Amino acid sequence: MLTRRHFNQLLLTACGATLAGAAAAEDAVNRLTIAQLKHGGGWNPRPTALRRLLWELSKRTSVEVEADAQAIEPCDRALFKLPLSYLAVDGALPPLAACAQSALRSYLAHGGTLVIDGVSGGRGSPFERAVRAALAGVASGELQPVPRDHVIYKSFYMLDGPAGRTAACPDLDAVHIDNRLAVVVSHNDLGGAWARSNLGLWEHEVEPGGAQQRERAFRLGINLVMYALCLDYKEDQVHIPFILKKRRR
Amino acid sequence: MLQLLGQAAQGFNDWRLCVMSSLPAPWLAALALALAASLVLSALALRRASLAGRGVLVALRLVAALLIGAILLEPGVELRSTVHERGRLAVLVDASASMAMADGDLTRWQRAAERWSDLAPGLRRLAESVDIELYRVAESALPVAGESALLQAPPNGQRSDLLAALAAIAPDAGKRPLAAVALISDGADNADLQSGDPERGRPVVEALRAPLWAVPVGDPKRFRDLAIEEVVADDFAFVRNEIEIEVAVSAHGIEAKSVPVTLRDGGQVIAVVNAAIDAARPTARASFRFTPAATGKKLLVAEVPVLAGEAVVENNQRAFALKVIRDRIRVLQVAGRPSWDERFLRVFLKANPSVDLISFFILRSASDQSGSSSDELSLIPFPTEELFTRELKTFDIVILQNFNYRPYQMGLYLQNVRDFVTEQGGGLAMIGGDLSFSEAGYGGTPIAEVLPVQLGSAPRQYRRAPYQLELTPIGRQHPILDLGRGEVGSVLGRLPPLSGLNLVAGVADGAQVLLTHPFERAGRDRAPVVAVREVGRGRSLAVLTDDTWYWSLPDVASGGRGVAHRQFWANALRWLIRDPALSRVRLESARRSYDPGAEAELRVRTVDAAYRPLAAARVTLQVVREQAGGDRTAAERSAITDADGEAALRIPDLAPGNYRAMASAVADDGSALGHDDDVFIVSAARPEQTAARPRPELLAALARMSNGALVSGAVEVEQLPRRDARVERISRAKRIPLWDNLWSVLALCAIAGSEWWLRRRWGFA
Repeated sequence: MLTRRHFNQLLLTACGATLAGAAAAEDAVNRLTIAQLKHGGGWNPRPTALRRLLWELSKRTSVEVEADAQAIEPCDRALFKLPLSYLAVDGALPPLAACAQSALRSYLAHGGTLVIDGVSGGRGSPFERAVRAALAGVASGELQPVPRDHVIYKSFYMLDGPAGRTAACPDLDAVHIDNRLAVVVSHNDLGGAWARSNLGLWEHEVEPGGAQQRERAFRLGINLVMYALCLDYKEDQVHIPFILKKRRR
Repeated sequence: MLQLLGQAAQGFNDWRLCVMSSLPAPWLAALALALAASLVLSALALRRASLAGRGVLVALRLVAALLIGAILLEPGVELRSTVHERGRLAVLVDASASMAMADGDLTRWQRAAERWSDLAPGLRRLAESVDIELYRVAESALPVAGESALLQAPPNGQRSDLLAALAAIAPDAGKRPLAAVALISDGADNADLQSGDPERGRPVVEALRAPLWAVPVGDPKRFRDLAIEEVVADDFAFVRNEIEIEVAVSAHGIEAKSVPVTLRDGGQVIAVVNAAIDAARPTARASFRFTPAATGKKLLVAEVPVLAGEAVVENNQRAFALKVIRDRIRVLQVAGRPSWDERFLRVFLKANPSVDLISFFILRSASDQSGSSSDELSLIPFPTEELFTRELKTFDIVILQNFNYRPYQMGLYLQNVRDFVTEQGGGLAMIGGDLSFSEAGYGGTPIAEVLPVQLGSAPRQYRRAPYQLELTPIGRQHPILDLGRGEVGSVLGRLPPLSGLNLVAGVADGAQVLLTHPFERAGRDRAPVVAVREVGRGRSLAVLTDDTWYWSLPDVASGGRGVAHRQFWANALRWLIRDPALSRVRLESARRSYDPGAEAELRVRTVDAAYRPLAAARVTLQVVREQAGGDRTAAERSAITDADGEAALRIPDLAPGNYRAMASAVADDGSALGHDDDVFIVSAARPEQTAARPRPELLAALARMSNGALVSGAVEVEQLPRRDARVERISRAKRIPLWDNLWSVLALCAIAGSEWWLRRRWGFA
């Protein structure tokens, strides 16, 4: 008897057969992209930011990437195929819907990583309060500053702290789940530093550090992606002598 | 009394009065009280009577009461036939093999005969009052009939268990009491008293309830022997973890200050340690530290040199088995680029407490431009030479995950990876992606020789398009696909479809395909997605996709628990390292060490792909003797497993030595089930040779414990301590009632009637 499952399999197989030839002819590579989460507020204040970060990631590392991020509702089950997601907040962050809270809770518990980036962050800011309120429904851990010796500051580049378009906060904040940073919060508008127009112009001034600060923002972005992909790889014993030696220089 | 009873007492030599009433004691007590009360009331009622009248009436009532009591108690006479039995005096002569050893110009056995000759005249005199029992002693006490049989046969007992022998003759064992026990022995016990602690014998000696005459034979000063007395080591060790092995060497009559103790692994010397010999402490100890490099069952040998004039040379060497197991599975994970597939596999490996993970991920290729100096990057060189030459043998599993070897000049080392699998027994897993299998140019390399798939030379063999996995019949039973939560087909059907696929030319000889693509082909067959292979001593796994991570986080989106990924890889690791629990052939020796001449007992168990007992499998067994000049086949057997999937094989007549048994099995459909091995020892030294030193001090301590005596030289046996062990035993008894007749009842009626009549006449009624 033809069941729904068998029908779906046949359909999938037929589609696969049709697409296979074309896919084989194309550059068949398993490429990484980032989920950009939609929400009820200003969810996409820097539309070109993630595209630029992915481009830099492709240029600087061995990671193969899609050209663009994928905008997605948190309730969309497709989120679970994108283990790294980015949530930008410009102004208010309205409360998340129940399905979004449930999906994000499950997403984070089973290995997903969420980066939250505030256009106007800082200690005690409305952004911080809104993020804490939103996270209360999706993660049981406390939002805490990330120590400077955390592997996220050496997952690809050797960094001494956070960076972004602003220098509103000297720390990244994070929520730990299963000994990893499941939620990372940037107060310094990373997206503002990454955003670049199609004409090749930087869309926002970076203050107070200018170009160097922008470069550090890209490096931090790359480190965030590398951390999501490799976790504490750079804390393996084999890396430690090399990293200590470079730190001393 | 016996004469009075006449014919009835014939055949009895003793008597006594007894009560034959069947009334319970409380009833009798109540009756006695009632009678006493009757007497008192009678006396009180006669206070107004004359003294004479009162005396007559009370006397009559007393007599009536006594008669009632006598009738109810049923007094009788018990006639007895009694026998006065004599006590026993047990003489135990040690007839174990150690008694055949030389002691000066005689053997210990000959000296035992001398001691028996010293004791025998006195014992014969004692035989008038006690029964003399003679025993030969080895594993236990064997009674012998007559003095001639005591020393006639040569001593050949294969074990000395003096306590078992003493326990066998003790009164508690249903025997008569003992007057004394004479033990003629060298004291070379190799059971509970081997440690030399006499206190271990106290319960047995006290149970004798008789003095022990210890008659030692053999002079320890004339005993010259160097022996491996004991090897203290755990039965198992963890690979690459240091263990300590302590060897106890006993040295008696040896002048040297130290002796070299050698520890060997087969023909290879692990270490030589000098054990210092102290005349005051005859047991010297040598400690070894040993780090096993590979898992498996080993036979190690500790040995000391054979010196001139040693009493026993077979005890200069002792083999012992060591099972080397993994404490943690050491895994090398090399990934060609960061990816979600790499990330979720790393999460599983890092979280698994049984895995020691070394990862190398290629974070930047030669064409990437980081825009910074190397000091600003946390990257380290990829130590290919170190990993794939010196360190390779330290791993259990190598995972090449979407890794192209060519940019790293690794062609030279691929041969090492192949040898790691085929010769060292390592596990190799290759995971797909656009940098793997044919895409990475592994075709034609040494690695291709050990993969479960045949690699084509055509490029661009990596595809991405959604597909649902198809399960093969082998995959349905294979432990790697035991994903829990029901039948594997339905579990796979609930998992998200995959996309990535590395197309290959075909399946390698001997490989098994577990999962396939639904329509892509590899030669005439469906394109494999997961395939396994046993190759040489190792195993290989090909996962021709970079999407197994879909069974983790994406599975949660479709209502799953995201555990299939973890379960799949946990099974894969266990299968790759040949986890014994997943072996389909198990071989086990009944004992680790067999005495010389004993039959080795080996049992083979086979299971089918679903790990159920497999009947009718053909088992082939080869037993080889491991020796320095090269292994030699000692026996070959074949058998068919029974309904329980078992085959028992017995190997007789194995010469002393170290043996490795190897079993392989084939199912009745011709498919190979695998193989297993086990090790065992056929000892050169019997227990009697291992602990052969005379121990008069041990015998003396046992004698003191029993308030006995140490008998050395000629002695007056009658003067030695012994206890009166005679017993009176009743062989027959008979009871005859005394009042069981009409006259006693008539007398009672007459007395009671007289009392009643007198009372009425005297006006007291």
